[in-house]
Amino acid sequence: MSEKIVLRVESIEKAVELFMDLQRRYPMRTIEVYVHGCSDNERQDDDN
Amino acid sequence: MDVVITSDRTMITDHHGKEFLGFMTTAPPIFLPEKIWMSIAAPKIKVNDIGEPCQAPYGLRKIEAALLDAGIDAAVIDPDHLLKHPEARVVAIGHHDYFALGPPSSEWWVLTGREPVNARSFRRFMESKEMEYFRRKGAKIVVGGPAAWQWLYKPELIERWGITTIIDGEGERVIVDVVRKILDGEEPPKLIQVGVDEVPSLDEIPLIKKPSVNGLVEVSRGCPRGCRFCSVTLRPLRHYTLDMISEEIDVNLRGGVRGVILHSDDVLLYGSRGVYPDEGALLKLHELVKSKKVNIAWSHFSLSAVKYAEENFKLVSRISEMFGDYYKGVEVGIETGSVRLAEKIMPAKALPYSVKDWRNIVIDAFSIMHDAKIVPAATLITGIPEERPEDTIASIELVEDLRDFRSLIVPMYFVPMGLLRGESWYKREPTEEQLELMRVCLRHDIKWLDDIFSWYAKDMNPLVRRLISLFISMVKRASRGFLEVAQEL
Repeated sequence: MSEKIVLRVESIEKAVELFMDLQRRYPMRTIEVYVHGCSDNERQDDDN
Repeated sequence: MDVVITSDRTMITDHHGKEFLGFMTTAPPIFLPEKIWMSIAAPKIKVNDIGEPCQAPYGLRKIEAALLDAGIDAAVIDPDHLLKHPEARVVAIGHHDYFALGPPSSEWWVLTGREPVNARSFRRFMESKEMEYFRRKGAKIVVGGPAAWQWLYKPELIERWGITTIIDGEGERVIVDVVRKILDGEEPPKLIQVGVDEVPSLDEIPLIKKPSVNGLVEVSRGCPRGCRFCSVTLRPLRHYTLDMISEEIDVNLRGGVRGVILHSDDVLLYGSRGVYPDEGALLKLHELVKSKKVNIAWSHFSLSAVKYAEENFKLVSRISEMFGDYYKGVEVGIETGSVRLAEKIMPAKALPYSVKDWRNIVIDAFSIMHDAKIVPAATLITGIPEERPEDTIASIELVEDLRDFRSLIVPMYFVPMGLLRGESWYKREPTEEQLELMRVCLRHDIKWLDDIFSWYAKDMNPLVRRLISLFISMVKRASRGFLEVAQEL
């Protein structure tokens, strides 16, 4: 089972950019991107 | 009600009971005022006293069913009746083509330089007083469906229209989590890609509770062919049981829908574990539909499966005869007439035959369907980055070889996603070979249009029938100049 990728970013532009990049690299994995609320990017999976 | 599920008028309609008219929503209005165009392609649909349409897009019905099964108060509501539910805290929206960036909308946009009506209608909906009301009162707006990816090319509209969450992928499991978070006052993700772990298993796919547009019911999900231009291939293959299909058809029958459109990415692979059609499974599926005493159509066949099923089991003609002597429609993908390009972009589309035989597979499948009174609406892709002029010429020659087979062939002009960010992406110029391919397809379609229209429109509203007849004659007249260029060349 592959782990979910979760990111928190500050702006929608950044969210879209990172999301599209991750979609290209991990088309089969669940990706969740939150906007605002946290100043640092954070990935819960450890294999990126 | 906690959740209203909705979309704009091009989606919440039954297209006068004629699914194919829905394609008109992907074009700008041609020769006719937009209001008349919309009244042909996407008329308002009958609603009940709380604003529920008597039929709704299948995908929205699935989301509705998932929420209802999870104990959440939700319903599909017509866009004109949203304010009957001012208490709703979530507005869930689905669409095939929010911004007309997908084919065939993108092609009509390139060819005419004008925005198709689906994008115009969606913009009007998002800026309507109803949506303004929900934004103002702080309701959360969740968008998804097959065109969810398009929002990524419109980040300014995500902010302007106050989109809370975008779900890209099969949403039946994820929507429940997102809505629960919202109702519990938690923040849901802004962007979600549904990975294989979150895709619903067969047992988790909810069955629709209320009628779908024109009786569409899903029989399988996923496709094993792995074509490069198609995202469906990333999903696991799942086949519904006959009981599940029967239950959904019964929901439609109880709602007064008199036909069934069997839907999957390749209906002829129903019950199969690979690329070989399963005779027994297909016969049982069609016997089930026949037992319901309704007319049948199919959403998609693959051409190699048509050839294999007929040559090995006479299955295509047997199934068609089972339903009587009327024409039945289906969508098929030719995609290219070039073996070189087919090998690159869709090497498994010809299986169980060799991709080197692709051209003959297409011709044989069209011939089989013509004899079986099945009328394909076929797509051809042009404009793929690897495409060379000789590939386009091979497609032109293939369309010419299909001239004797009753069908419609629509070229899909491929717009690379990287270009969609620009404001003027639709100002691309097709090459002379691509234009010639469009001419050849138009000539083919005009040859068959009257024949197809004469039976397709038989039971249509007389006024709509006359309007479409008028439109067809205008298209024929206007096409003369475009087609004559080809004769001169």
